[in-house]
Parts: sequence; C-alpha cells; structure tokens
Amino acid sequence: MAKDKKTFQDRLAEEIDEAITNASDEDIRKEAEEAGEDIAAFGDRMRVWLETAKDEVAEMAMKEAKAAAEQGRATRDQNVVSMAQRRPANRPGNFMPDTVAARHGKKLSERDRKGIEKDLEDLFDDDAWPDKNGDEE
Amino acid sequence: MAIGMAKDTPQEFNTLKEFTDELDLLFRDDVALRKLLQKARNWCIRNNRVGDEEEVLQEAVMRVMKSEITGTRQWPKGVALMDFLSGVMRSIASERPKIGFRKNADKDMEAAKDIASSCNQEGQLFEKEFMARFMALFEGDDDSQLYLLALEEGQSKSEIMTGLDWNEREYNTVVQRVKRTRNAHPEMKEMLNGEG
Repeated sequence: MAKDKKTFQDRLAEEIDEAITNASDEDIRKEAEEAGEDIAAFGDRMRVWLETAKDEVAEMAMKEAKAAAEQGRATRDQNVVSMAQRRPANRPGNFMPDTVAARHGKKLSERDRKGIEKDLEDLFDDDAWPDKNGDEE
Repeated sequence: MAIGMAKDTPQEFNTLKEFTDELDLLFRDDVALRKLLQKARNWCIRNNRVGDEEEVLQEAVMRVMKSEITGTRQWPKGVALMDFLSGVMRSIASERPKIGFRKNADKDMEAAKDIASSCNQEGQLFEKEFMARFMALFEGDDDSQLYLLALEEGQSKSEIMTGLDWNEREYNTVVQRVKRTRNAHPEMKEMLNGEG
C-alpha cells in the first residue's frame, strides 16, 4: 500500500485528473451537455484572450531586452575597449608573402640589399628630382 | 537505470511559438477544451477556489508564455500539452499562504509556530469532516464508498482494482461517478469555503 503525505483530497483530485485524461470523447460531450456549457463561446473567448496575451508578453520581452541593454551600458567601464590581438592563422603551403623580406624570412639576400641601396641613392639624389618650380636645370 | 539515463539527457523545451500554436489548436478542439476546463475546475475545487477556473487557466498560459523571459515553467518536449498545463494549473491553484502568516501582526516566530500548529490540527479535523460529509453523498452507492475508503487509506489504482476485483472500465466508471457528484454539490463548495 502506498503511504504518503498526501491528503484524501489530494489523492481524489489526482484520480479525477487522470479520469478526465482517460475519459472518452462521448463521455466528455455528454457531461458538458448536461452541465449546459457553451464551450464554443468559451473557446472563442480564450482565442481572443490569447492574442492579447501574446502582445503583452512580446511587449514585456522588449522591455526586458531594453533594460538589459541599459544595464550593460551603465555598468561598462569604458566605451573603447581593446581588441584581441590578431594572430596570423597557419599559412597554407602555397602561400606567397607580398614583401621580399618576408619571402626570404628575416634575412635579405645580397641582391635585395643592393636593390635597397640603389633605391635609397635614387631617393637622396637631388639631381634626380625636378626643382620646386618644376623647371629643369 | 532509466532515471539515471534521463538525468544525463539535457531537457529540451518547446518554443513560445510552438506553445501558442498548439494552444490555439487546443482552443478550437471542443473535447480537448472541455477536458482542460474540467481539469482547471478539479484543481480549483481541491484548493477552495471554485469559480476561478478561467482565471487559473489564463494564469497558467501566461506563466508558460513568460517562460522565455523568466526561464521557468517551460513546456518540455515530449510532454502532452494538456498534462503539462494541468500541472501548472495545479500549482497555481494551490498557491496560498500555508499558515496564514499576517505580515504586520505575526512578527515573531513563536506566533507563526502557534498558527502553523493550530492550522495543522484544523487541517486534520477538516479532512475528517470533509471525508464524512463527502461519503454521505454516496449513500446507497457501495462501489463509490468502497473506492473512497480505499483512496483514503492511500491505496493505489492497481491495489483498489485488485482488492475490489474491478477491471479498468469498472474502475473508471466509479471514478467518473465520484467526479460528477463532487462537481454537482454546491454544499461541498460552501463547506470548503468555511460556510458549512
């Protein structure tokens, strides 16, 4: 025998709940007729109510979201935050860097070094540039 | 081991849209809606809230709809909507101060304990009185009276069926009869409201 802390009324209500679940459609309709219930009107009323309830909940959800956003703004220390440092992803085998140095790792080849020296000489060669007025000497 | 397995499986819930869509269908199904209303009435009668069926049903629906915000009362996948709503309605209908603690008058714990103790004794007396009056409604209906006595003893459905040598149909017929009698007697309602 199952002994528990439930009262007689608790057990009776549970039994009736199960009986309602198991009742046939015929029994349910017959009982409703006897009780004179206008279930169609009740259903209509509940569907109308459900639509207003949906709106109410949607409005509530919106308010919650706004409040959460406000809370986030109020508690944040600063508006500008440092971004996580980007690390290069593993490069595929056929990847070719843009710069010469990068192509050769840290070391420059002799040819690269000479090329750079030549570029610098040209850069500082005043004769290689037109004067300020654009007149050639 | 089924319980252990269930613990390992994360609980999945229906979405708000799934809930409202299913509810809309239920509200269009006359038999399902009648069952839902009867279940609401059942929990209201049990908790001394006769006449609050519609309010309890609407409150249950609202709490489930708000579950996406509150994170509680979500409708689990695989559970029939009717059963789930019945559980929520049961919980709502039973929400009331357990010991009648008055905010301003009962500030100390001794007073609260006295009230709790007297309420418990009153509750036991009320149960006995309720049982006696309820049984009297079934005068001449031996099957119903035997069923109610077995239920008071805490016997399960299978124990009652075995003990009284009833099949499923006979058992259900008696429970239906008891349900109808319970619904049909306003004097029980008055007693539950403290007027009897």
